[in-house]
Amino acid sequence: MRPVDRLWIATTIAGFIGAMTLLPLTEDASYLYPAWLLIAVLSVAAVVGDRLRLAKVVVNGIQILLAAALAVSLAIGPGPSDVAWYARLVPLLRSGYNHIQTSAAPMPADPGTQIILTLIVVLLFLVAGILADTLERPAWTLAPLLALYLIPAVALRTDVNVVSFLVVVIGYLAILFADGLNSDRRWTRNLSHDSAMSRGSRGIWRLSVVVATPTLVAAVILGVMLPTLSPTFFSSLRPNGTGPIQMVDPSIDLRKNLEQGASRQVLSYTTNKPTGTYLRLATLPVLNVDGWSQSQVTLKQGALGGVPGVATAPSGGARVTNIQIDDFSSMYLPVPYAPRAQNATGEWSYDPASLMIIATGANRTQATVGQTYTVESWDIEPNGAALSTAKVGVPDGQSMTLDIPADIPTPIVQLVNQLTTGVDAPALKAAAIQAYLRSSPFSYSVQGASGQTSYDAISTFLFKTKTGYCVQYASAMALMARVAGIPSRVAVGFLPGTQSGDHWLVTSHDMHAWPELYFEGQGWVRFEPTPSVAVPPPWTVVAANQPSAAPSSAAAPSASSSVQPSAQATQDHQSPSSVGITTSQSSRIRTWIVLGVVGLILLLLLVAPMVSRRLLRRSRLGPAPDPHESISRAWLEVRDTWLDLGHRWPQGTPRQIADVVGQRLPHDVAETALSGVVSAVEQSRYSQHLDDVEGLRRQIDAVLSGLDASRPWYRRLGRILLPASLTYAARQWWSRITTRPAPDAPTEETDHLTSPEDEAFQRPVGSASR
Amino acid sequence: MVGSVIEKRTLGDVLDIMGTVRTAIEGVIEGKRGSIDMAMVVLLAEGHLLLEDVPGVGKTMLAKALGRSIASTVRRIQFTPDLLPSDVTGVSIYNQASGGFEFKPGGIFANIVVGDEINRASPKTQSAMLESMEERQVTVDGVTHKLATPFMVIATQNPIEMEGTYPLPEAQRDRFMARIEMGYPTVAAEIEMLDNHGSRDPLAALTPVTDADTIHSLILAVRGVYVAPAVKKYIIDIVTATRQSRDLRLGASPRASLQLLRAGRAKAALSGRDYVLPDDIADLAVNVLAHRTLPSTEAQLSRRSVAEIITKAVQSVPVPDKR
Repeated sequence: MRPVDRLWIATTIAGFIGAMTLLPLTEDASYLYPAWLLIAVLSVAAVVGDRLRLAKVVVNGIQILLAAALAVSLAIGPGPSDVAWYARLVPLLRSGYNHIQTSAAPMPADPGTQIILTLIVVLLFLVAGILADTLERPAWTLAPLLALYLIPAVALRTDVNVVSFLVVVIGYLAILFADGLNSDRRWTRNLSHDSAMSRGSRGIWRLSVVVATPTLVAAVILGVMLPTLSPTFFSSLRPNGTGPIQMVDPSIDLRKNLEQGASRQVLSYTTNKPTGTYLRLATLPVLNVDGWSQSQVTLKQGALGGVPGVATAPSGGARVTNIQIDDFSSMYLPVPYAPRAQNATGEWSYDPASLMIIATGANRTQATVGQTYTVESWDIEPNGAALSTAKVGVPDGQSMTLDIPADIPTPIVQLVNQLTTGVDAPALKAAAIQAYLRSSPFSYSVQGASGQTSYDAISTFLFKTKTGYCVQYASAMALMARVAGIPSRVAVGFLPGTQSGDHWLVTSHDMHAWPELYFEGQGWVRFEPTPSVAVPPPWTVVAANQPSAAPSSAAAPSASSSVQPSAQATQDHQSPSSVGITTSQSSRIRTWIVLGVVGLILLLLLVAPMVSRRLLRRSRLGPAPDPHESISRAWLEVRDTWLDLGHRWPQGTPRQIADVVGQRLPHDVAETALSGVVSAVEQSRYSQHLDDVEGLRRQIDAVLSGLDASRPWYRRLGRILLPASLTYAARQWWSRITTRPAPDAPTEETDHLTSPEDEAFQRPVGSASR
Repeated sequence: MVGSVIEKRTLGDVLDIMGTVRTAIEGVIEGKRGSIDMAMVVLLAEGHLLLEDVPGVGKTMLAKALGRSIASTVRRIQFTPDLLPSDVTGVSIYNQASGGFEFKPGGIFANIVVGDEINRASPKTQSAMLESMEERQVTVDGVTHKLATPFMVIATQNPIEMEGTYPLPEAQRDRFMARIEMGYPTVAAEIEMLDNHGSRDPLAALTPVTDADTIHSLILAVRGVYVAPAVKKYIIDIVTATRQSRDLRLGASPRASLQLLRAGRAKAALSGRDYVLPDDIADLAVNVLAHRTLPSTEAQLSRRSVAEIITKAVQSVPVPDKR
C-alpha cells in the first residue's frame, strides 16, 4: 500500500464519520449518501492520480472539478432538460439557503438543503485531504473536521455533543496515525531493512496521542466554556442603574423555555375569577422585514393610567390576581391584561400605550425573581356582537401598529385577500385569519422552526412547512391582520397554566406568544391562532350555526359595547421625573456590541503575530535549562531577527552564515559580538567543552540591537506587524515540496533501473579514462 | 630517532610550530597559502600528498620547502620509465667484505619523499611505491624494514604531457590523502618571486625550523582533536552524496571518509581548535575527495569538473545544527 493510499483511506474514514456530525441539524439523513459517494469518488481519484504520477496540485484540481460536476448532477438530477442546469441549480440552492435561514434544527427535509449539506461535507473533506496529502500537514486536518463538528454545535446552541465530538476525534486520530506510518517509512527509506530500526506503530500511536490529547482537552474545555461565556459577556455589557434602558427581546427566551426538556414551574397565582388568565410580559408592535420588534417606549412611574381604547371597567368587575414568582428572571412583570394597579417591590415603570410594566431599578433583568405581588386588572373580553361591528381605530400612542409595510411578500397579501374576500367587518376578517391558521394542515411543533419572525420565516411557515409554534402563529396572524388593515402587535407572556386547588401553576412550557388586535371601543383584543395549546377566546370564533358573516353572539352583550376610548387626561397625573427614559432598540445595541467585538478580534488578530514574536524573543533570551539550550535559542533568535528584516537565511555552517549576517552589522559588532556568538554555537554543537557563556547574553544583545538598527523601524513596520520568521518553517516546507528533488539524489527506483550491462559499460576498467 | 622519547605536545604547540613552518615555506613560495596549509594538514594527518599541475608552478619547490623546513631526511625520486622498484624500496647486495647480503635502502627511506612525475614510472614501480606508502614498511628478501616516522610522500603528477606516461589508477590515487592543484600565482606574487628568485636560490637560505620528532609529537597531539558525532555524520553524508551523485560514476570510498576525518582533525588543530567544525570538512572535501572519484560520461561531456561536482554535493548536504 502506498503512503498516499493510506492517507486517503484515513481521510475518507474521517470524512465518512465526520459527515454524520451534521445529523443533528436535519431530520432528513439523505444528504449522507451523496456525500459518502462523492467522498469515495474523490478518494479514488486521488489514489488513481497518484498511480498515474500526476502532480498533486493537478489531482486536487481534478478532484474539485469532479466534486463540482457530481454535486451539480446529483442536485439537478434527471429533470426536464429544457431548463438550463444552472437555471435549476441556483433556485434550488437559494431555496435551500432560505430553508436553513428560516427553520431551526432539526430541519425538515428539503432538496436544496440536502445539496448544501452535501457540499459542506465534501468541501471540508477536500480541504482535509489537501491538507493531509498535498500540503503534508495532517495535523491541520483538525480544522476542517472541527468545522464540521462546530456547524451543528453553533447552529443548535446546545451543550457539547459528546458523540459527534468523539466521531471527529476518531477521524482525526485516523489521519494522524496513517501519516505516522507514512513518516516512519519515509525516515527509513534510504536505509536497508536490517540496518534501519523500525519504530513500529506503537511509537506512532504514542506520538499521535501525545500530540492530539492536549488539543482535544483544550477543545473540550473551550467547548464547555464558550456557550456559558457568551451570555455572561453580553449581559455584562448591558447598562445597569441609571441611563438608557436596554430592553430585552422577550421572545428570545421563549423558544429556549419551550424547548427545555423538563418543564419547570416559574410562577403560581391565585385569582378571584373562576378562569385563569393570560399573563403578559411585553408586546412587540413594530413590524418590518426582520420581523416583530419593540418600539421606543415612554416609561412612566406611579399608578397605572387608563386602558387604551377602553373607558369603563368590565361588568364582572376587576380581576384581582396574587402572583408569586419562583425562579423567573425578566425585566417585564408578568401581569394580566389590562393591568390597573400592581404592588410589586422595586422600581417599576409602565408604558401607557402597551401597559407593559418594566423594571427600571438596578439589576433590572433579575427584577422579577422571588416577587410576590397583587395585580388588579380588567379582563378585556369583548362581546362578540359588538366586536363584529367594531371599526378599526387608532390606538393611543401606538400609531405604528397601523403601519402596513410595503415590502410584505405578495403571496402573503394575496393569501389575506383570499381569506377575507366578502368579509367586511374587521373582526370577522381577523376571525377568518385565525380560523385559517387553526385549521389543517397547520400543526404545532416546537421542533423544526426557528424563533425568527422575518418575512422569509413567516412565508416559509405559511406556505411550506405549515409547522411551527406560538411565535410563528402569533407573528403570522399579527402580520396578516396588518395586511387586512387591523392594528396589531405580538404579545409575549404566559398561558393561564393549570389549576391545582385554588392555585394556578405556570411552567416554563407555558410561555407563549399571541397576537393582540385593536378595535375601536374594544381596545386591544387578544386572539389565539396557535392550535392545540389553547382554545380560542369565544369572541374570536364564528359560531358554526351562524351565517359565516356573523360572529358568535353567545356571550351576553355587555355594557361596554359602545364606549369611547379612554380619556387622555387620566394618564397625566404621574410624576414627570422619569418621563422620557428613552430606550433604544436592543438590536441596534447588539449590532454595536457585535461590531465592537469583531473590531476587537480583528485588532487582536492584527497584533497577535507581533506580540507572539515579542514573547518568543523574550522567552528565547530568558533562562534556559542548560547553556547548550540557551545558545541554540539565541542562535534561533538571531536567525528570526534576520528573517524579520526581510533577508534570506543563508544555508551553511554558522561561520558562513555569520559572514553574510555580519555584512549588515557595524564592523566592531560583527568582529566581536557576532563571532563570539558563532563560536559559542560551534562549541555547543561540535565541541566537547563549552567556554563560559557569561558574555553570550551581552553579545547576543549587541547583535540583535545591531540588526534591529540596521533598518529603521518605520521602514520595516509591515515586518514588525507580520514577522516573517513566524512563517519561516511553513515557507521552508513549502519550498521543499515545490522544488523537485535534485538529480543528484537518485531515488531507490532509479538505482534499480540501471541494468547490469549498463553498469559494466559505465564502470571503469583498469586505468583511468583521461 | 627510534627510541627517542617523544615529547608530549599540546594543540597550542601545533599552532605555534606549524606557524613557523608556514612562515618558512612562504619565504620560498609566494602566494600559495592554501597549498601550503593543505600540505601541512596532510603532514599532520599522516597522509600523502598528490600535487597535480602543469610544469613550473612550484610543485617540486613546495615539496622541497616543506622537507627543508623540517630538520628531517628528505629524498627525491625522479620517476622515469626505466626506474626499477628496487630503486624505490632498496636492494640487498652481496658485501664481499662481510660475506653477507647487505640492505641498501632505496629512495623511500626518508621522512619526506618527493616523488617527481610519478606518472612517468612503470606501473610496477608505482605499485612498489604506493604499497610502501600504505604499509609504511618495505619488505625486501623477506626482511621487513620500517620506514621513518613521520613519513610523507609528496608526489607530483603532470597532467599535460601524457605520452608515455602511466597515470595512476584510482585505486592508487585513493592512497593519497589529498590532491592539490597549485595553479598559477597572482601577479603580485609572481613579481615578488622574480625579485626573490632572480639572483639566489631561496631554498638554500631555508633553514629548518623544527625537527621530525617534534612533528611526530604534533601528529600525536592532532589525533586527540575531538570530532562530534554530528560532524562524523556530516562526513558520512558528504561521502554518501558523492556515491549517490549522478555526475560521478565512482564515489568516494570508506577510506576517503577516514582520511577526511583525519584531515579535518589536522585542519582544526592548525586553526587552534580542539574540535572539528563542519567548515573544516567542507573546506577539505574537494582536496580530499576529488582525486578519488570519477565523473560520469555526461558530466565529462558537459565539461563539469569533479571539483564542481564535489562542491555541489557538499552544498546539498545540510550542515548539522544539533549536538
